[in-house]
Order: sequence, then C-alpha cells, then structure tokens
Amino acid sequence: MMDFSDFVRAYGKGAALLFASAAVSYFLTYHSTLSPPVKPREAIYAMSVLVEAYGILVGLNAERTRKPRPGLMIAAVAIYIVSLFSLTFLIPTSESSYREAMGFVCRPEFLDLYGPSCYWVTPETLAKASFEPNRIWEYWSVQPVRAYLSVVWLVMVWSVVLSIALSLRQTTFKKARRARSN
Amino acid sequence: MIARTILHFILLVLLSSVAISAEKTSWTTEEIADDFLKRGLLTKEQHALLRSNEFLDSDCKSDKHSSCKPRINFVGGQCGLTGSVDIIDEKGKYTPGYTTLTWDISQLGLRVEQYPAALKAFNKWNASAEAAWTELKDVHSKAVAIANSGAKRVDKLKQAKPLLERAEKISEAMARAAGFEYDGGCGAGEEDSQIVRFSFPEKPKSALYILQMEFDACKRVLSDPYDTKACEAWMNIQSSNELSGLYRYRVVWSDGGISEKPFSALSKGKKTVEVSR
Repeated sequence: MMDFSDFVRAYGKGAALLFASAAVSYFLTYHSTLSPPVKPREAIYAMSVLVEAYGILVGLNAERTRKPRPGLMIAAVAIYIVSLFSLTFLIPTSESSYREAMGFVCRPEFLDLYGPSCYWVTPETLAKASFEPNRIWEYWSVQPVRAYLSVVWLVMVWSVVLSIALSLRQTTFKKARRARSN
Repeated sequence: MIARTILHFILLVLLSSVAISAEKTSWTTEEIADDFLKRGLLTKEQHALLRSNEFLDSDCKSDKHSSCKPRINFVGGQCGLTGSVDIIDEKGKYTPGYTTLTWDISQLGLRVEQYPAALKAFNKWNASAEAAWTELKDVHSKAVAIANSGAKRVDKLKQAKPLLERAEKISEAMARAAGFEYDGGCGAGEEDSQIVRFSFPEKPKSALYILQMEFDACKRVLSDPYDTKACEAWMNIQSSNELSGLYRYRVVWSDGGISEKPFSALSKGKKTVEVSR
C-alpha cells in the first residue's frame, strides 16, 4: 500500500505538468491569436484544463507498454494550425487578438452586393462587413467551423499533454517504486 | 484507491474553478460605480444615485482602466428597444426577431425606472425631461397592456411596433437634451472594436456615419442612399464610437455644406478622425 508521502511524490511531476500546461493554455487562450474562435474564452480555457488534467491522469496511469507517439502529437498540432489559419480571420481592432470563424455558405444579401467574393474573402471585404461573419455567411454555416476548431484544439491539447505525461511516467513511477522498496 | 480518486476529483474541481475565475472580463454597474467613487470621478451623491443604474457606463472598453471616465449611455449596453418588432415588413410578414417583445418591454421599463436617477445625478432633471419621461412611462404602460392582451403574437408585435419606435425616439431625444450618449447597435462586440472619436472645425448641423456594407446595400436599393429615414443604417456620431471596419461619415454644416468621406477603424486602441470642411 502506497503511503501518502509516496503518493504525493509520485504525483509531483503530474501536478507540475498540470500547472505548466494550464499556464501555457492560459497564455495561448487569452494572449495569443491561436485560440479557437469561441466566446466566452473562459469556456475553451476551462475545457482545455480539464482535458489536460485528464490527459495527465491517463498518461501517468498508462500501462508500461504504452509509449508516447510524437508523430501523432505533431500531426494534431499541424492540423490545428492549418485549420485555424485557413478557417478564421483576425479582427484587427480586437484588443484580445480574437480570431473569428468563417462560414461556408454565403448570405444571399452579401452575394447580391459583392458577388461570390465571400468564398475567397479578402481583408477589405471583411472590413466592409465590420468583421462580422453573420453579415457575410449564413449563421448555421459558421457554427460547425467554430465547433470543428474547438474539437481539434482539444484533441491537440490532449495529444500534447498525454505525450508529455507518458514520457514522464516511467521516471516518476520508477522513483516511487524505488522509494517504496528502500 | 479511494484516496486517489478523491484527490483527483478535488484537483479537477480546484483547477477548473481557478480556470473559470482566472480572468474577470466584465464588471457590474455597482463595481464600476464604486471604482469611479474611489477615483474621485463621482461624488457620493452621484454614486448613491447611480450605483445600481444600468445606464452608468465608462468611456472606454476595459471598465477599470485608470483613464476611464464615467458617462451615461441611455441605450444601456443593449441593442435598442425594437429588436422584436423590426422584423415586420410592410406586408406584415413576420420572421422571428433577435429579441422578444417581453424583453424589449422590460428594457423600456428599465429606462422608465432608471432614467430619472441618471438625470438627477448630473442635474439634468428639469421640466422638459420630466415631460418626456412621463410620455415614456405612458408608452410603457400601453406596451405592457398589449403584451398582456389575449391577441395573437404577430398582432401583438404589430400593435407594439409604433409604441416601441416612439419610445426609442423619446429616449434618444432625452439623451440628446441632457448631453448624454445614445450609443446603440448590435455590431461587433465592444471588446473587438476600436474607439473612434471625431473632431470638427465647427459645430455641425448633423453628423452621421454608416458601415460601408450597409451603405452599398442602401445605394443598391434606394434612389437616395443619403436619406436617413429610408436608409436606417446611418448612425449619429457620438463623442465616442466603438467601431470596427470600413465606414463613411457625412457631416452637414450649419450653412448647408456637406462633408462626406470614407474612414476606417482597423487598429487597436483609440483613434480620432479629423473632419474637415
């Protein structure tokens, strides 16, 4: 039976990783242009921290044969970055560097005015519409983009944290086992 | 095992609550009023009148920023009173609006309840303000009666439309008479906008602005896109305007001269647009 001090020691790295990942996702969510287009930002931040906490628990409790897969992690990051930059635009007036999602079906009012330019939207067109996606695209076609980016963001957070937790696991538990056997 | 599960659970709850409360992004009217009192920008009497007044506002986005000053905005951070009825066209065709009739009437009720305190706080409560307020109160009672009638929903909206539009006009006139803001509209969120101020070489007769897209739409449909009654997207220029994108202004001078020019709000922070004759 593991006593409490062993337990705390074994989980020290996990807790440190959790705080570090929470701090990184805080910075990314609130102070970078990389967060998914979801408001309020608290929602995506809280979900990220929960996913991180769960990823660390799973990573630290994984079977010994389970190895981190950096390829998968890199792929998740790459998919998120590519999706984010191709499906969102930056609102230049936003104090919090907010990126807004595009839609995939143009509003007839917009098509009437500017033709099919909404399918390959330029910064000038966005500015004319006050950077409001609902003036350019149908609302129902913007929401799936927001949902998709949120899901990919959480998958990315999960894969990064899980990989780090898996690589931390062996040393953490080896030390705990050694501490117990002494 | 049980201890570990409990510890996991506590950790999760703690972290998620830290995450959720990590950054406070909005302030209540009470907090804004208390902050202004602390900074000496409101007197104790003004503070007492305005502490729970929805129309107390600050002239910049981050409400607690040290350079923010108190202002009264008679729209009160809402989109206006006609969100539920704007959607009835001339043929009486109805599509659901972005607010409900009861919501609009409750917002009107708030105005009736709280405008006097806002005006009193700045010594603007006089006979003409009281007369306008009495009319507003009367419009509110009529709107409440319509909401409570047994009529069909569409009919209620049709009946309430002229009343709510009237209430909007009275509110705006009251704000103007007192020198307060009447800064409405449901555009990009406040935090995503730039604060734009205008400077004029002389006092204009009227000063309006419009979003470029709205102007293009009016130009396409209307014979005179400058007719502010027909092209409803023209907005009055306020002392502080929260904007984002490409716009154009149109200023009519007292001698009938007109200045019209496009302008942009495409960066962070504040900006002043110099209007020349």
